[in-house]
Amino acid sequence: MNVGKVIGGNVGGKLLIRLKSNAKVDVGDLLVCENENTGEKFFLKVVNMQISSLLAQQFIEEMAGQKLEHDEIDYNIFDAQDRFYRMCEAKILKIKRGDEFYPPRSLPNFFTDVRKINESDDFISQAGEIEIGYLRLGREALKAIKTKLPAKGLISHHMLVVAATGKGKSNFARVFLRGLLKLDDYAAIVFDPHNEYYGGKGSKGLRDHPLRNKVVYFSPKYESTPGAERLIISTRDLEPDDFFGIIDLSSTQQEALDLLKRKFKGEWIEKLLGEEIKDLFEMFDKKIARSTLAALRRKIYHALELHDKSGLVFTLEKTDDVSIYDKIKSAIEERKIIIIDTSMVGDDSEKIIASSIVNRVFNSFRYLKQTKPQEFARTPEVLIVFEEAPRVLGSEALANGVNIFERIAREGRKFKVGLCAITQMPSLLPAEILSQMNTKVILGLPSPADRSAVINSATQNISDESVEIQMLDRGEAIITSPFIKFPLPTKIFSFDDILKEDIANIKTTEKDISIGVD
Amino acid sequence: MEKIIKYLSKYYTEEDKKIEIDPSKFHTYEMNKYDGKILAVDGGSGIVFDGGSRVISKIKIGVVEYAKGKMTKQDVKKYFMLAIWKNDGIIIKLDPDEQITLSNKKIDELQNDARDILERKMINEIAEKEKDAIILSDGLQNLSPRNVASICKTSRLKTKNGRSLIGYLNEFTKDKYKDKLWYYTISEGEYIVKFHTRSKFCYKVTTKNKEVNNLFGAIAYYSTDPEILGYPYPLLKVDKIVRLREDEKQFDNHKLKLLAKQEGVNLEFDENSMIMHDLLDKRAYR
Ligand SMILES: Nc1ncnc2c1ncn2[C@@H]1O[C@H](COP(=O)(O)OP(=O)(O)OP(=O)(O)O)[C@@H](O)[C@H]1O
Ligand SMILES: [Mg+2]
Repeated sequence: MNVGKVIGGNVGGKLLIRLKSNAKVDVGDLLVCENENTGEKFFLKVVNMQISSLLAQQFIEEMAGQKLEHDEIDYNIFDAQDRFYRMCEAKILKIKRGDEFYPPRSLPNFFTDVRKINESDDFISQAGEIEIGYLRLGREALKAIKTKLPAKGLISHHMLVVAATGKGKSNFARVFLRGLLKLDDYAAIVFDPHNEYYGGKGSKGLRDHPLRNKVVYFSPKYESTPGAERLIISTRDLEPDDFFGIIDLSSTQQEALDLLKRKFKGEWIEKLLGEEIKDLFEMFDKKIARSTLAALRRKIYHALELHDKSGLVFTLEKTDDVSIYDKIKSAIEERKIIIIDTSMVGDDSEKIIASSIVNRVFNSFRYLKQTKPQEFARTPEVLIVFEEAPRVLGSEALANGVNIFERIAREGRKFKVGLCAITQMPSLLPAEILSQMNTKVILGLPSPADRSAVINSATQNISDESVEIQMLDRGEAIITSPFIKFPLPTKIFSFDDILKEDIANIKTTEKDISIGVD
Repeated sequence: MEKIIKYLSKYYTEEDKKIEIDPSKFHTYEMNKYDGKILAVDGGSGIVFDGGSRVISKIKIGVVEYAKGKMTKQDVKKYFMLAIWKNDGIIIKLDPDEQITLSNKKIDELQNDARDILERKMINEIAEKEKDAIILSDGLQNLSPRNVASICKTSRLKTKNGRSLIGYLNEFTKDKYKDKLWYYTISEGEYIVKFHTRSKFCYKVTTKNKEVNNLFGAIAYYSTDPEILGYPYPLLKVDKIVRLREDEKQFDNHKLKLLAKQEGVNLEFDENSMIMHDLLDKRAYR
C-alpha cells in the first residue's frame, strides 16, 4: 500500500515525502520507491517527520488562536487532509539496479509513489551465517525477513555492543553465541560477571541449547552445576604480564615483578607472598625497595583474593591435573564456546583471570602464525566476550598501561582473535578503540555523549539515525559494520524464544550433559 | 494628503446620511447544516503562446462537489484555444472542439470571453443534472437556473454618492447585527449577504432561488473555513483548481513549441518578436 509521494530531496541529503493521511509511518521505518523509467529501486529509511500545511504559518497560528480563545465560533476546516498533512524525511540507504545494489547516488522522480518494504523486496540479500533477529521497520519486526551477520572476518574485526542498562546487550550476546554454536569454524570465550550465559536456576542459557555439547563452562561453584568444570588457577601458571595494565602498578613495581619471576620462576607469587620482606630485600641485593615489595605483596594478595594459601579461584598450590589454560586451548581447537563464571570474584580477580586467559590465547595464536602458518590457517577465529568493557578498555583503565585487551583491539584481527566489548557507556572508551570495533550493535542509547561517541566512530554514516538510536526500545538495534552493506535496523531475537525454536528443531546429537531439575 | 482626507470625510458624514437604507429590507437568518450537495463552478484562463496575430490560450473550467462537509467529486475540463487574424477578422478554434461564437475585438482578450461562455455552459449542464443541489458560481450574472447562486467578491454597487454599498452596509450593521447572519434585499433576486458573524466581508448574491433563508443558511455552513471565513469554501477550492499558474503556462508554452517543431513550424520566431514588443510596451509607453 502506498504511504506517500516523493516531493523533494537531494543526493547526499534526504528525500522529502508527503505522507498519506492514514499512513502509519514511524521514524526508523523502511520504505521503497521505484523509478519506472530507469528501473531503479530505492530503499529508504525514515529519519525524521514533521507536520506541514499549505497555509501560511501566520494563518495557522491565527486559526489555533481562534479555536483556543473562541471555542463557541462555528469553524469547519474543509478538506483538512489535503491541507494539513505529515511529511517525512527519508535517507536513501541504497539503490538496486537489476540485481546489484549501489550506493545512493541518484534520486527518484517527483511524485513517485512510496510504499513500505515487504518480504518480496530482496532487501537483505546479503550473505551471513549468524541469524540475529528480524528486519525492523520502526517499532515493528518484519518476521518474514531475518537479519544475519557474516561470521568470517567480522569476529576478528571486533564488535561493540552498546546500550543503556536493560536494553538487551547480554541477550544479544547470547543470541550471537547461539549462532556461533551452529557453525564449525569459530570458538568463543565469554567472561560472565553475572552468570547469565550458561543458564541456571530460573534462567535459560547456552546449556539449555541442543548443541550444549559445544559449550564448556568453568565455575568456582562447579560442584553444584551439572556439566561445569572447576575454575581454578594456580599462581604458578601466572605471569607478571597478566597483571600489567590490569591492576595499578608503577613501572618500578612492574620491574620488580619481572625480577621476582626471573629469580623464582613458577614460585614467584608464593615467594612474594610467603617470604619475609627483609629476606626478599636481601635476596635481590637490596635492588627492590622494601616499600615496593610490601606494596606488591599487598596488591597481589588482594587482587587474587587469597585467604591464606587458596581463594575461590586462585591457589598457591600446584593444581595436579591440566591447567585451565591448556583446557581452554583444547576447547578452542574443538571450536567450543567457553564460559567463565566470574560472578563470585571481585573486579581485579576477574580482570586477572580474563587477562591471563586472553594473553595465553593471543600469544599461542601469534606464535602459531609465525612458526606454523599452515596450522594457524586451520585454527578457528576466536571471539572474546567481555562485559563492562571500560574496565579494561576505558581511558582510565588504559592509564595503568597497555593491557592485552587493548593489544587485541589493535592487532587481534591479524591473529584471528576478536573482542566483543559490551558496555553501557561507550563514551568511556577512547576514540581509537571505538573505531577498532568495526561492527557496532547499537541498542537504545539515551545519553547524547554515548550516542555521539558511537555515531562518530561508526563505519557507516548513521548521523541521521541519532533520533532513532535515542528512542530504541529493548531488543531494537541498528547494526553498522563494514561487513554489511548498510546500517541494519534489527529487532534482536529474544534468546528464550529462539532457544525454544532450536529445541524444537535441532536434535541433540552427542551425549547429554545430565541436567538437574531446576 | 490632509486635504484629500478632509474632502473624503465630507462624503462619509454628510452625504451618506442622505442615502436611504431601508431597515425593513434587513433580515437575519440561521446557518443550517445542510446535508445535500453543493457544487461550485469556476473558470480560469491565460495566454500560453502570444505570437501577435496568432494567440494560443488555455482555458480551465472546474467543478467541485461537496456533501455533508466532504468533497465528493472534482473535475476540470481543459481547453486550448487558437485565435488567428485572418482577412480583418479573427478565426478561433477550440481543442477539444466546442462551438462558440465570440464577438470580441481584441485577440488577446478572447480567451476571457470563451471562458465565460464555457463556464456558463457547464453551470447550465450541472444545474439541469443536479436539480436538488445548490450550485455556486464565481460572480457570473444573468444565470437562469433556479438552483444557482452567484457570489460576487467585489460588488460594483455604489451608494448614491459612489461609496461602495458593501462597505456602507458593513458599517451600518456593525452594532445591531453584530453577532447575526443577515442579508439585505437590493431587489428581487439580488442580495447582500453576510455569511459568517466574524468575517469582515459580505458579498452580493444573485439567485432565482426564492427560499433564500435555506439557501443562505446552507452557504453559511460552507463559509466556516478559517482560511477564508465568510466566503464559501467550495468556491475557494475550485478557484485553486482552475487558476492558471505561471509555471503551468511555462510548461505548456514549451510543450507547444516542441509539438509545433515536430510539425515543422517554428513558433519561437513569432514569439520573440512579441517579447520585443512587450519590452517596448513596458518601457516606453507605460
Ligand atoms: N530482543 C529481545 N527481545 C525480547 N526481550 C529482550 C530482548 N533483549 C532483551 N530482552 C529482555 O530484557 C531484559 C534485559 O535484557 P539484558 O539483560 O540483555 O539487558 P542488558 O542490556 O544486558 O542489561 P544490563 O545493562 O543490566 O546488563 C531481559 O529480561 C531480556 O530477556
Ligand atoms: Mg547485561
